[in-house]
Amino acid sequence: MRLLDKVALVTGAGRGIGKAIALRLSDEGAKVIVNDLEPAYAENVADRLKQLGRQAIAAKADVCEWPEVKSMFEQAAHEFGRIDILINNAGIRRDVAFHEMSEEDWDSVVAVQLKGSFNCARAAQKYMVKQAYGKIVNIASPVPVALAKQGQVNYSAANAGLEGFTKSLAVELGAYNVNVNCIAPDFIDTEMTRNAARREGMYLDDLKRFAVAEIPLRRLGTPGDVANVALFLVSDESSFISGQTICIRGGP
Amino acid sequence: MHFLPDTEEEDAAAERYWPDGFKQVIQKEVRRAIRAKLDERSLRRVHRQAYRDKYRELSQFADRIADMVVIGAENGADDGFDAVYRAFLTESPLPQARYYARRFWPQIFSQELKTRIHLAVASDYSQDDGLQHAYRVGYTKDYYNFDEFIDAMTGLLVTGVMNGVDDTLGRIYRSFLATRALPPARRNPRRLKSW
Repeated sequence: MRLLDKVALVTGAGRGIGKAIALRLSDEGAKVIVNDLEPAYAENVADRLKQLGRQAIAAKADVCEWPEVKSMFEQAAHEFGRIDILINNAGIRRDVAFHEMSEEDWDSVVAVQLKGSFNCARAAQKYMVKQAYGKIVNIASPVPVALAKQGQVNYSAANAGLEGFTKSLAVELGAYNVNVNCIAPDFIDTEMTRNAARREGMYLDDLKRFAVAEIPLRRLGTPGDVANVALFLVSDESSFISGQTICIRGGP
Repeated sequence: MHFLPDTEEEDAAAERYWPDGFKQVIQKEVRRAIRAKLDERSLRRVHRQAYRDKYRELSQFADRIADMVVIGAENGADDGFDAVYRAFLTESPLPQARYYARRFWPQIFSQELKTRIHLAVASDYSQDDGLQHAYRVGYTKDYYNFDEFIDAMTGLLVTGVMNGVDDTLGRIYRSFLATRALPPARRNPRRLKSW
């Protein structure tokens, strides 16, 4: 139980990667605050953990809205007494060709990915600095670093920003024993993959069959693959790793 | 120096080739297996999006892919043989077979198909005087008898066939993902017996 009595808040934890991370951290003894924009999804995950005898609460909040984020962290601290771990997982995609990209397409993606991470880290650091202990993990994408794809100028910019945010925040919070790292997953089989298949005009099975040809390990990743790396980065085994981005995509 | 019979005195015009009759079995059996599994539903959208200009009918497109895969299979067998040949040249043990841990869709290598190819290769190679010489000179300590040696060598070629199919499918799928022309597929030249 590597995270016994640690308190973890995971944003966007109602589905996909966020859910897998919440479950994994709970497996290792963490008390988990399951945040999602959709209360039903968050409650579903929290209930599942409670049925397993674990400690968890659901927390609906829009990470783009500072008052909601502040309130969520206050509620979590009141419930569990501390905040040790923050996983900034909430993210959305609005893929569209640049010349057709609206202000809303740009703003919404940047707001959730960057502003949301800023809001949550800002709230979390208050507790972490006081505790002289904290782990922040930002879930980004390899897109801006390695892959630059069409139709993702907004997503690319937000994720590139998130990597820079990670490095700078690691420098600022290191003195308080707070580690800040980034995970950049790609080719993960989630709801977003299904949406990607639809956008490409392919059946999901076909996308899976062909996409693996780009992956040296010849398989799609699972949310569990991402959760395992998140677990490592929030555990004490990675206590000398900070300001880093780990790409999880079955290859370089 | 090497495990191969000297051919320096032989008439250069009397070219002889390493056995490759088994490739006819590959051409027939691998083609049948891949064509049966190429789900036209999977290819329909890809064909419509990017390949309809060149291959008017979906069946033509599927046929072309099957032909490419067969060439990949044959070339893969050559890769397997080349690894063995290098071992002969350097007086080294036969190389280890390197199986891909995961294979691309569609997976066509049933035990039956592998066995058919194995038998065809073994049948060709067991009659070859060059391989008999190589065994006598270099491998009697490693293999109990010539049949066992041929079996090991055949395993390498069959692995090569399977990996060749995978490599070709991978190249084809990467073309699909990038919506670019299908990659070229060219048969290797025949392997000339020479030293």
